[in-house]
Amino acid sequence: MFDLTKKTMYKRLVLITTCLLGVLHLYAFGSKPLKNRLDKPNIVFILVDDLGWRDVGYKGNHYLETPNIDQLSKEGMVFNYAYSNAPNCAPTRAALISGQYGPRTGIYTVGTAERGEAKNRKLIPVKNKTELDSAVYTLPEALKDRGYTTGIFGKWHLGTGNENGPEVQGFDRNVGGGKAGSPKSYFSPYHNPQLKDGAVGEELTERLTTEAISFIEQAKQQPFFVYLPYYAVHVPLQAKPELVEKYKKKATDEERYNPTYAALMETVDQQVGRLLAYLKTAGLTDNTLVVFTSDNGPFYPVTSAAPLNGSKGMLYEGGIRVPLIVKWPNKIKAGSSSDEPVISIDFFPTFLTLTGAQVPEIKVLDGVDLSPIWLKQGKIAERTLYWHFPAYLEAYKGMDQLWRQKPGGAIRKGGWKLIQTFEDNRIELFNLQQDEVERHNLAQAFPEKAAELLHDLQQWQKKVKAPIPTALNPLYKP
Amino acid sequence: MINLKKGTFTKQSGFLARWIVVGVFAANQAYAQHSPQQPFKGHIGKTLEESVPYKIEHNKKAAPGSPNIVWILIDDAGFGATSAFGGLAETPNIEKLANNGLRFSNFHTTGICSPTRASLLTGRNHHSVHMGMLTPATKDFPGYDTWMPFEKANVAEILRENGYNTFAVGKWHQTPVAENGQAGPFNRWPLGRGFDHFYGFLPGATDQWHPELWEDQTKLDIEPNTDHLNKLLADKAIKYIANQKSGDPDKPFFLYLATGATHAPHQVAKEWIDKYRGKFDMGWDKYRELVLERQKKLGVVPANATLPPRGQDVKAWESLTAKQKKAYAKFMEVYAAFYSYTDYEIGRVINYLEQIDQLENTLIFVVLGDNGASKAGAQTGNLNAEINQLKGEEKLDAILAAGDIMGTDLSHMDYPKGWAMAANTPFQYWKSDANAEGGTHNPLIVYYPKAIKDKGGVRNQYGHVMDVLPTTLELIHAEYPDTINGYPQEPIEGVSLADAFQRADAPDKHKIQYYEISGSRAIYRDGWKAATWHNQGGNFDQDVWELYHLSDDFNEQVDLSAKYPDTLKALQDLFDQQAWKYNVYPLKDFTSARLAQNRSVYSKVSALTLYPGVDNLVGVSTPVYNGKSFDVVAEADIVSGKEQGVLFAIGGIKSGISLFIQDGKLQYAHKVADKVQYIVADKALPKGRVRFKLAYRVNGAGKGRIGTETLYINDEKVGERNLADGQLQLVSENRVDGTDVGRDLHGAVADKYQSPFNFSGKIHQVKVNFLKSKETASTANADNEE
Repeated sequence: MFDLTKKTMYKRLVLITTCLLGVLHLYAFGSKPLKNRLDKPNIVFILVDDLGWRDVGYKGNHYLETPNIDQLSKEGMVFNYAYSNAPNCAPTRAALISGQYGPRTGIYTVGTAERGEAKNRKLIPVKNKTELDSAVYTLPEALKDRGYTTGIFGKWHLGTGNENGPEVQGFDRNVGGGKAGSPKSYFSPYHNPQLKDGAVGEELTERLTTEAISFIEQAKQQPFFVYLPYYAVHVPLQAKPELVEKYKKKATDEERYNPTYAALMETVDQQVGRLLAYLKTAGLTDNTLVVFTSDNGPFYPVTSAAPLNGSKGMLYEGGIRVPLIVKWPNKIKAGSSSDEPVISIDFFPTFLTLTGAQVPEIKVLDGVDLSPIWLKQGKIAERTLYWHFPAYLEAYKGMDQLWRQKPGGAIRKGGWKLIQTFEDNRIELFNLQQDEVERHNLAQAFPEKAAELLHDLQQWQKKVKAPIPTALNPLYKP
Repeated sequence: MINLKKGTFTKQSGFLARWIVVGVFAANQAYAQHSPQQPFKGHIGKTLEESVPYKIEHNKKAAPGSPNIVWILIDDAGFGATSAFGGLAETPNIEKLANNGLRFSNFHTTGICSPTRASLLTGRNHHSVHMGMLTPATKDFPGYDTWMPFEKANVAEILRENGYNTFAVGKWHQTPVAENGQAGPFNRWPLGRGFDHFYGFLPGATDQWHPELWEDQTKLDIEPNTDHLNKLLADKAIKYIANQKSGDPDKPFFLYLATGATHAPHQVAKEWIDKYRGKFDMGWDKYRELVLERQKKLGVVPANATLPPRGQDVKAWESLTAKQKKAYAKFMEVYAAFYSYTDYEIGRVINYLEQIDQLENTLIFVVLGDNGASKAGAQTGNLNAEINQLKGEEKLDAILAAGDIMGTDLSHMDYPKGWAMAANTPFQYWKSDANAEGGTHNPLIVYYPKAIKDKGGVRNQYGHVMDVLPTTLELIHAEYPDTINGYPQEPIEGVSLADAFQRADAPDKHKIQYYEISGSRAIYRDGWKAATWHNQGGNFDQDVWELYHLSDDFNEQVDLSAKYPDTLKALQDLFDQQAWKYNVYPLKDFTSARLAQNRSVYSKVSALTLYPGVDNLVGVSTPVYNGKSFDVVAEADIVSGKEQGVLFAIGGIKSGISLFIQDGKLQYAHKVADKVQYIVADKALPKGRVRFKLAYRVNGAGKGRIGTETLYINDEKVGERNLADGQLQLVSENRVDGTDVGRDLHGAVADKYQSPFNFSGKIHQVKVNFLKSKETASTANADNEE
């Protein structure tokens, strides 16, 4: 009864509001859609580096402690099938910033595509770019053109300086972002050309948070976009000794764990908590959209994506499934969750809708607008996700295979996922609804499904002109 | 839910408030003298016989006998160029004013165009009126956003309230670039800022033979034109005066005449250049020696002055080859001729005042340079695009063979740095070096027979361009109202130099002055000056400060920073205090802006739609195409299939592109250096509403760039051409021939048709979409651009 009344009233209010806003719209704002004109929420985008899908308390990790992130998950919407565009750092970041799949930016992996020993590489992989071309119209540029003040605090990894640095890609302020993919040190002196050293011993994650807060303090009278790509929890693992001690003493049943990693993760969690507390004190919580996510799966030597198969660098779920929480009080329902598969390139179009920003007609955006899901306004059209990784990645010590990843591609369509390896055109097919841990290759059992997905993947490869390595490596010795 | 409701109301009240604000704003639009409704104090009966009228003075009138005022501002001229200050460019008319008026020898500008103009017009520091940098270098901070506040009224706004007519003729360079288009808003155009009329150009520079010209708020198309800009400006100034005086001979006028001269391109008719043939064969070193002696004789530099070192990159004249000497001397011949001819046209305006018996009642200020001489010509000078590309002997040969085109519209000259150094005698460094006297020390001449008894006198009081306004107001006994058109007014920051008009020994009143342009900065106090040059792109903390005692070392030859560190520290602190006070922070330099790209009203947009009938868009009004990739999509109706004509064209004189339909085919022409290449579509024209598209792509930067141009009809590819470096130019230097829709005005791009080749069918619209492009403006071009 009560609920019904509430709903009816709400509907009425919505109607009234719509009318009022409609009038407003007509008189004050010309012909642009209403939602594109009124709200300009602040955006705080927290990107933790190499944070595994399960390395947050709310996902049931018993060893790591992330109370603030767990609290955030209760205040926002949790995505259970959020993907990164690539299984490692730079390509995911390029996708996030450009809103485009790898073949459009040429950034597929970190550094060279020729990792490992030459004699083990059957193919000559595709040449990788390490810088995002400044000709790309970026997410921060779109927001800046919409009147946002923009800042990056942390890892950029897509070039540097006047050529490709954050300064020329739409950020008004850059603290700490250059071409480096990992910190030289987590404690000052940092040896980071984009970051002035603090007092000796100052901790990096704390410092970046302080910089973000002081930026918001200065920028808060206008809409702001804070991109906070922490260097944590990427190696080299360094953390506050007292926290490391705490985890050294902690017993656990986790398969793989590491006290320094846990301590660094707790530092991240504390700083996320600090930032959220600041937003509250500053009265910004209600009009600030907070996104929390990662760029790829966990780093195998120190932690695990179990029960998912794979880890950072791999196209299995463990390499590309990431945590994702989005919070926006009164707009995104607290404590909600979604099973919709979503991917890094979706943020760009979603933010366009939520902020009213626009891109030039010729700008290609590969993702979809997730705002209907976030705002519970409806569904999004069914679509297929793709990955393209034409590079080699060597295995870590302790792995029993030679490669983490050989040049390949992947597709997720409905509940099915297929991974293609270019060397031998090997196909793996998984039914994620029944086997999300990817233990049962169904390529033989469901040849028609496999053919369908492979066909779709190849069509997509053609469409985006994805380069497939075919040239044989003369140094290859099987 | 309550929150939601509240939110709605808040939004609604915000909406109402906005309309109220708009209303107030509209009422306050400063387009004319303030003239509020006033109470009637007579008596009104039923008939005239029963009534007593009451005459209201609706517009304040100037006091009887108020003088006319003329401010003349020369562009990009060094201290040692004009003969009025000892230079070798003959400027007899300006000299005559000086000989019957005063020379101020210790006068300063901000060091670059827009900031000096903003400071001059408002009597305030450039950052204080939001013009810390050139208009295309805008940044969203109070010191740099180029939105000059109405609360800091300019000379025209103040004089108009004092009953003056106000005319701006020549260079403006004060409106935010994005508002230079026909969608306005116009409140920061000259007519929105107190002027009754404006005739001139909006950006920092224009071609002298084919200038970008506006009258009031309308773009003029004067082509085919053969008159020099100097003549056009003088003619118009005379016309404004003639009409104004004929309307009301007792009403005074204010004329702001800001020439495009002597900014590059240095262009002038051959007969003026002929007067200087061989005159500069002595070279720039000898020039400096000669001029220093002449300056001493005139008393505008101290008798014990010496020349500073030649400075960066300038070679000793004697070390040059005979061919280099011969080639470089030509540039100075053209420059001196350009300056002399400018003086001639200024003379015509002065003579006209004399002719109509107004000169004796006119207060004239001549500021000879908005900054020091420009070094943009670099080591070897600029002549035109083709010759500039050459190197070494080849370039010298080309210069020596170019005698016939020098000064014409086929040339775009700027002298070599050595001549800029000479034109700056006796100072070091150049335009935009706000730290150095070579950037900021310019001559001022005042002429006002009513108040100047010491005719031909020299004044050494420290002065700054912002002092001209308060001096003017004091001399004419004008009032500065507390509010102007509803805007409460803030104080003027300059000081009046009027005391020095009467007394050569009047004490200095301008005691403190900071300078800052693109990170280079200085602070002056009571004869001392601390200064630091900023390396573009460098760290401001690492800039090295120097200290000079200008009272004994007026041209900065002895750095005392090591000797008097405490004095330096005190001055640095003073700079800091002034910087906070006047919006100088945050410091930024040329590397923070894309000057060349930002010169157009379309700089900040990546997509634009043009409709048939739009003006031929040139100068600030046309998008900047060179170096960018873009799509042009023209939508037109093809009904009979016999339609023909130009859909879209850029340029045409020497270079340009044109998308057109002829002989039932979509065609495309690209002209570079008068050579035209074509693409003809390999498909027939379809019927209906058709999308004709050109995709122009350029990849890479500098030498080695390549490109493609591809034609589509309804998204189907119908032709393509690859472009090598050297074939990529779209718009020629003088930019007189801009963007056209439905026709190709002025020079035709293609030789297959005659201009304008109007399109015979119906065009709906033409869209131009730019791909975000790499920064193409280099810092070295900054001066050249503005």
